[in-house]
Amino acid sequence: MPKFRSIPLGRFGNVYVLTIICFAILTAMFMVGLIGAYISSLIIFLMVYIVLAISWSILSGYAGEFTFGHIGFFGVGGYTVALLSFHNIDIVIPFNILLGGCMAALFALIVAYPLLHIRGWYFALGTWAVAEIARTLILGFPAVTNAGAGIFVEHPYPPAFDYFGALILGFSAIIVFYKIINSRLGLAFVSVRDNYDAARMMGINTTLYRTIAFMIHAFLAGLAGGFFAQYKVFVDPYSAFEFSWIFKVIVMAVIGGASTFAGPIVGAVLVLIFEEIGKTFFMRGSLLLMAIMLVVVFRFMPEGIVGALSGRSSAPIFFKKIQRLLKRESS
Amino acid sequence: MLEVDRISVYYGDAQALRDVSIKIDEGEYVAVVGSNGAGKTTLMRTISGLLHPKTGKITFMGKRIDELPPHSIAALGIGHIPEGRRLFPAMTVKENLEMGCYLKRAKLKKDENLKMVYELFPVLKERSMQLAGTLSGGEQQMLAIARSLMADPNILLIDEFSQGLAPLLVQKIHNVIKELKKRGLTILLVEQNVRLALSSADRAYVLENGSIVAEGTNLLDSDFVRKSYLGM
Repeated sequence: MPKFRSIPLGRFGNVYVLTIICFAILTAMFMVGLIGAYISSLIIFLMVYIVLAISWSILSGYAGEFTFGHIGFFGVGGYTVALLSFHNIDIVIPFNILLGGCMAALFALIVAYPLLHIRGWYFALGTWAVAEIARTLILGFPAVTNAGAGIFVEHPYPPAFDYFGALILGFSAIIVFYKIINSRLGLAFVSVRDNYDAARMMGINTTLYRTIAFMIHAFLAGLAGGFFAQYKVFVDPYSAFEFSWIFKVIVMAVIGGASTFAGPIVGAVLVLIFEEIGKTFFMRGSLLLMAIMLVVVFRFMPEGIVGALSGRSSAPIFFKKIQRLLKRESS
Repeated sequence: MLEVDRISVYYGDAQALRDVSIKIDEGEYVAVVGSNGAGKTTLMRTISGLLHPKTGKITFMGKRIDELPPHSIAALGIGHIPEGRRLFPAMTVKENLEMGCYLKRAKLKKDENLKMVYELFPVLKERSMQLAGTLSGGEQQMLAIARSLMADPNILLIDEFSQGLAPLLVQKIHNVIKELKKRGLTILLVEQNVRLALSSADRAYVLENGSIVAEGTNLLDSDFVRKSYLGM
């Protein structure tokens, strides 16, 4: 069997080897002291972004369910880690982050039942509502969650812990993403996205596969959230569910190409660069930069940069609709 | 093998099928003909579970299926080639075929079936790495048929395969369908092209405004059909 949709990276060689090389280089650079506090924080952010962009791409780019509620699962992961620390429940650190991912996936499973009965725009709005519900729940139980005051997360580890934690998280997400989209599971996601009825006629239990995609996306977002809470040492209902993050993640995935393997990674790098440029030169200008970039990409290459370069147009119909809309407006 | 027993199907308040009954025995090649809007596609979609009848029942190999979801019906061995092909355009030809054998029962026979469909449609082998969305209309129809054959079906529902194809291609694909029948596959064909369907099927039903108005083995000779559908 030939590998499915491996084209975007095919000409750069084997993905596994490439991932290991990158990992080794970043490790070695840290060991010899080439990576200072600033660069290290950039790389940590980049890894969190990559995990989030990948998680969004699995659900929205591959399974075709556009979501705004992504940040809700990020918040659930973050709060899981924070609550463990708040209530002095001692779990070895990598495991509390893992638990954050599991709690997010569990939350996804619970809300999947009502959510997956609706599709398209309604689903997107529904996910947003779910994220708000999660936040409201945290605000509503101050005795358990310390509500708006937020929680400080214990973090007795050296900076190297965060750095390597981020690397492991980011690179494993990349490998998992690659594995999924090249498997029969990934193919099933695409079939549900591209032709719902035909997928059902092929024997795909569409509800089941949409639930699976939803849970994988939540798990990854929860891992990122758990890690981020640990790294930031503090969560509160506003920063953990910060809405501008949703926008950022969508920009990453869409600019890079949400239906390609390399897209979310390229997008995450670009957004990080925009942000740094924005911070340096004009305060909050990075959001403006991203917005302009988003419109340009939608208009001229709805498959994203990687999608356009690879020539394998598999943009979800959703994006094509937006492109058509923009075309009509401009002509 | 497949028995549709007095089903009525509605879209909201609008009735699309009224007490429709058809029966197909194993190995038979049955056609349902009728004009636009007669309810042919509705009938097909109801059999494969995309729609559910309000009254009546559908049984397949002794099992009642009208309440089942489409993926369970597909798992029983009912293959459906939908109107307008409904391929997965962003997947390659090969990936589309891979989707065809997603079911467990079909996965086991994948290599065997892949060989069979490549032999039936050699052009698909040449184009196996091409995106399905970039194929010509005829090739897409061939892929749609091949995809459902990959599922190793017991019965094949074919909806309007001639739609939008050049006469020569229609002939070519029709020959493949006849060949499949010869190999023992049960076929239910729905067609607007009445002459084409009636000339080759063992038996046929005429669907008009949601009801069966005629059935028989030699409808081409019936006065009613000649007058209403063939303009003679």
